[in-house]
Amino acid sequence: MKEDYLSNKTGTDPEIERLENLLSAYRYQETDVPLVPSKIRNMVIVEPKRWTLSFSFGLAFAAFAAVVVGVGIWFLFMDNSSDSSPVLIAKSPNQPVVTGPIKLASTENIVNLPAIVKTQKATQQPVMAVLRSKRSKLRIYIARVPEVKKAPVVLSKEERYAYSQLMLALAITSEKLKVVGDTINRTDERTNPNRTNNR
Amino acid sequence: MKVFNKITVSISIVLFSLVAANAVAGQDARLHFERLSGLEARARDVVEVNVDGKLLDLAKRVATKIKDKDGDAKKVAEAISGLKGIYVRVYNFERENEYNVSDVDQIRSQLNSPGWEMLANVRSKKNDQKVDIYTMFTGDVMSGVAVVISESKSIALVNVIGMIDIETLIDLSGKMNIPKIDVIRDSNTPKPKRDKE
Repeated sequence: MKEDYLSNKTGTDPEIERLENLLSAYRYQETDVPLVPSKIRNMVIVEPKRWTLSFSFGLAFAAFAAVVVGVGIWFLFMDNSSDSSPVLIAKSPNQPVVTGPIKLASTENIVNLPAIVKTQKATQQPVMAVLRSKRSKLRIYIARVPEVKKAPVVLSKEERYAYSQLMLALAITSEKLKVVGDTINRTDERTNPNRTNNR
Repeated sequence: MKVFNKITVSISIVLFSLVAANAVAGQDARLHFERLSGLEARARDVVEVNVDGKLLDLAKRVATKIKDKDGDAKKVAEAISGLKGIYVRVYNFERENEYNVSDVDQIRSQLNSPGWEMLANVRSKKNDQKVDIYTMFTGDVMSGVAVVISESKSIALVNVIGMIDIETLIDLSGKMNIPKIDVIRDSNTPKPKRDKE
């Protein structure tokens, strides 16, 4: 192999020439510019609709806002001391519920809670838990959804009298009907002692 | 003018017959307890309950208004929805044969009138017990029930007018506001033995 032929194409190198001849089919050939086809399809560029864009932006903004609010709340309640950690004050309506401003500085305060706690009456909305922060005065009350109690039926004096009379009459009637039934059953048993009573 | 008079008369007759039929259907099942009023002075305990008309309507309204956990009030309201009247008389006496048997027989004779059908009739020598239960039907619909129980020391009469669900009533005995009371038996009276007689 002579380097002159390979670099400057001067002289001869049969080995390279043989390879050139073999690869000649792939040699670059300068041709004319290809013609444009007679039928050209128009490409339709679909632009995104405005509401889609606005919805996407809105969604992104909402997600961003949620993240910001979440981080804000986390910072709001984050405190180095352990006193501001969320404290479950009341679990059920029967348990005492905090109604006044109470400083929950430590776990000792939680232990001493009954001393500064007022029992909540059933008429008040039961509080399930209270989240509070020492840094800010914000308190979040997690309230139990109150059970919808139906108002008791209020009966007038006349209604009560009428109902009691009817109930008395029905009570005696049912009692007498039972007496009749028992008597008939007894009679049946006496007359047909072998008969099985299914009642 | 004659045609007008005829039409008026015929309409009046039809209306009258309708009203009369309605009245008869409602009143047929009613027993007359007036003769028993003399027993009140002799009896130790007297229970007299009359529930009909506006009082019954009021009680029905209350029964539908009340809502309890078991739904017994609703059952009662449904059981008495067709009720038109209920009359109860209970007389308890201190001693045996303190009342005149003919007074009760007079009530029983009312049940021999057409319309009443005897459902059960039991006679027992023990305590001189007589138990009668009669029903009255208007078509396929029950329009009355009569229960007559007489023993040596007590009389009990129940007259139900209209339709009533007896099975439900018996099921609800002792529940809700229906007190489980025993008017006939007192604490000294032993419970009847079933097998030994």
